[in-house]
Amino acid sequence: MGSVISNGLTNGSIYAIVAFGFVLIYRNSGVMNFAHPQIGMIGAFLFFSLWVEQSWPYLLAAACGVGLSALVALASRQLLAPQEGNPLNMLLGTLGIGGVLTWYALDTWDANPQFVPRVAPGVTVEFWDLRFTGAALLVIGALVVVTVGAGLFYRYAKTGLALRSVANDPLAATYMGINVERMSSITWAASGALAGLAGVLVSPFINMDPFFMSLLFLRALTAALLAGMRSLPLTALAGICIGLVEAQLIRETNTPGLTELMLVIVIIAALLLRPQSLGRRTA
Amino acid sequence: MSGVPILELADITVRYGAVQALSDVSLAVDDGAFVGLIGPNGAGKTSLFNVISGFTKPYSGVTSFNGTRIPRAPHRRARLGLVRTFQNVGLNRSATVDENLRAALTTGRFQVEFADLFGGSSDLERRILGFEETHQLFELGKYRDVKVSDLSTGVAKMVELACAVLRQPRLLLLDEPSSGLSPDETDRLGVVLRQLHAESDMSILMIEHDMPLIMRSAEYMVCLDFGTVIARGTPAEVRNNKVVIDAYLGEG
Amino acid sequence: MSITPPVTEEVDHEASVAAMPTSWWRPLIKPLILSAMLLWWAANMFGEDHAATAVDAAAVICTVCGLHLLIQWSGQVSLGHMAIVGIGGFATANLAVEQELPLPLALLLGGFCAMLATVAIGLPALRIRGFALAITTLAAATAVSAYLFRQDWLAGGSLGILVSNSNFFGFDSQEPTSFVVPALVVALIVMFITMKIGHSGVGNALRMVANDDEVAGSYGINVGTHKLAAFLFSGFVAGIGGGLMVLDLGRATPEMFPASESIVFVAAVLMGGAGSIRGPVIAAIALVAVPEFLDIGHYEELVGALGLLLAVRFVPEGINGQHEHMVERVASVKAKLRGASS
Repeated sequence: MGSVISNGLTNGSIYAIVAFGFVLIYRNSGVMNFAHPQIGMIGAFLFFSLWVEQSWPYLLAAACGVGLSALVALASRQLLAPQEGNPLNMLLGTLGIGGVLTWYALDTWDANPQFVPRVAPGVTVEFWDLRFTGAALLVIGALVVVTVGAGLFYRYAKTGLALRSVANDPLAATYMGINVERMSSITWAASGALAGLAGVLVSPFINMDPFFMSLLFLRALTAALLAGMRSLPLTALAGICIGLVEAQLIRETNTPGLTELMLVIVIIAALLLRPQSLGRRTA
Repeated sequence: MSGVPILELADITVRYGAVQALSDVSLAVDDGAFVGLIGPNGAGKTSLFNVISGFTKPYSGVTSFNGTRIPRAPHRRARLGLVRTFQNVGLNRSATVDENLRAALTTGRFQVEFADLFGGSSDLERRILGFEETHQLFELGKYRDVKVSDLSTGVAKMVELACAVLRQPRLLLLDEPSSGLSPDETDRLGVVLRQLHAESDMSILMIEHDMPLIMRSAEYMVCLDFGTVIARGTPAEVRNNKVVIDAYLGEG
Repeated sequence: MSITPPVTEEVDHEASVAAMPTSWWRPLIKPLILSAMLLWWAANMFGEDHAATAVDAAAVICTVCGLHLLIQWSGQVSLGHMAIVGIGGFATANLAVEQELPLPLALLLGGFCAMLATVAIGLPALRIRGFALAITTLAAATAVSAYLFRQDWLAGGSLGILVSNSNFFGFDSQEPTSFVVPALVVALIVMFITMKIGHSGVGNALRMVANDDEVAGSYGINVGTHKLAAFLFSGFVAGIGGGLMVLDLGRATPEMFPASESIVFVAAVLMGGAGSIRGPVIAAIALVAVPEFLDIGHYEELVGALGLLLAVRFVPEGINGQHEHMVERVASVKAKLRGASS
């Protein structure tokens, strides 16, 4: 039971962080960024390259990875900007970008999984029945920081309030003197950074090949859809729930792909029962 | 024109969430009649059309067509002869006029749709030509292979009307056919509509804002406001009805 | 686009009706001759490499024809068609090995199995529209590839299914220079059928549905059955495509059908543009053949993604759109010349 909760919480936190980035862009411009997982992947690979292969200090390597993801996200937005009025084309465009990123990773690092060591080996915290490694604590801590930080940011920071008004009504925001363009860029960059962060944090737990983020993405997508693509706290909750349910499922059966099956059923059910969760957000 | 209603609506209520678009609307269109439906913007006229054509399920109320209850699905109602036009032109914009005419003739029946794979298309062609012969006012001939999106609004509306007539309507629902038309085009539309009505036994229910057009064409009028019927009668009666005048003055 | 509608010359429709060929096979003569020429050339002039590429292209073309009908003619976007290709492939393999059916029959029935499987996505597609449908298909394809393709009863364990029989109407299915002929025949048949559907009343009705559900309904078109039929057809031919792949390689494994590869099909459809299947077929051939000549590692990932990106960003109207522009431009130049000379 203990391992289910600790694994579930850890995994769920990752899903939540990935979902955050995805929801951010959707709230801001109605775009579903399907390059999101690969944007995170490329940052994680840079981190791996710097930390493991070139022995840079951990924090510096991680920062570079996160920064790269943010930059790539920004560049993606610039590239696809002319199609912004057409969400379907945007989605397809991001699929294309994701594919290009995958190819680059495959070409540079090949398809074999890379091993990333734990950042704080030997650190374990135990309470009640639960057992968390240092890396796991880092993940959960990151989720808490991001959620609380986002909440404070949106409520009190000037840019945060500006972002909220853009998400609410872009036209009115423009009239109020808010630079919608810049807000959009900030959103994409932040989303990319979150993807990169998730990739860096999860790297010690999985076999890192160019497809590792895509597996996470399905779970994150489900969490985002369950939370209606709107509220960040709800998304965090949904992510954690999915992590916990998945951990329980894995413990009970050995069938491969069962989680994916469950997730798709949840997605279809969510979309059938609540079609307005994907209502048009932009004017 | 017999006294039997082709369409009967009894106590139709439509709700969109908290908003009540139609409240207990009752309406009858006699077989072969030309009825006008007027009212200020937002009165619920298009909602009523949506109920009649089957797109919207009323919260309560009964719709009968030709004396019987009709199946809910819009395509079934269309095949039974309940044909409607749309405010923003119900045609396939990226297709040619010809393709839209053919779609009107095949009425979505798979057997007919497949028939032209084996030489059935000449039959469709003959029927289109026959239509052009009888309805020269439509002037379809020169626009046959033009894409709908390349047509002017006036011509597009005529094409839409032609497609509607090709579907052999028992009841033709026209949703603001004159919107976007110049005065000349509106005049011609009036001539065409009156001619269509005189030559056949189809009934017409028309939503319009253009008063001269509807006054000259309709035999009977119904006025809606805020989702209820506020007046009925002949065009002259309704035009001079104080309640109706107030409703129109009150908008905007 | 012109502001005033171009007045087409008064075509004598009466005469054209009278002159219509009473035999339906006459328009088939030219395509048949061209196809025969292509097949002869493929059978005798293709080296091993070209033949292998041609077989790949044939499989992709089958899927792309169906996807084109689904996306462009019925307005439903599926981003996970690789899953259906895979179901067809595994079905064909099972039928060929377990049931020991002759390969052509296994191929055909594999297509039918894929078609049946498509119902699982075609039905929800009636309620889930556009955007949301695209995501659902992507997610569903991932699940199919992760779950279904690892089930023993379908995929036969971790090694997949090995198909030892390679007799396809006398051709050797695992020998590209031999299989290229039947593979191309299959692709040509699929293209032909798709084209005929497109020109028929069915295609017309589908395009009305793609344009606007409500308007289509008012024309008496049962939107639900038409949309479902489009999905079923796309599933059938995708299954055929998968079957061709399996017969060609002589095996069926989950790695052959990763969900992410679906974007190659979508890229071909998008690059092809709205209109006839000529566009997407050309795009499909390009997507399969170009990597042959360029020596990029892992090109499968790159070509489809790049094609998609370029199409979305720079040429959203695709090959068909560009072709139309060219035709319009040529027509207006001709008109100018005629005007100038009068």
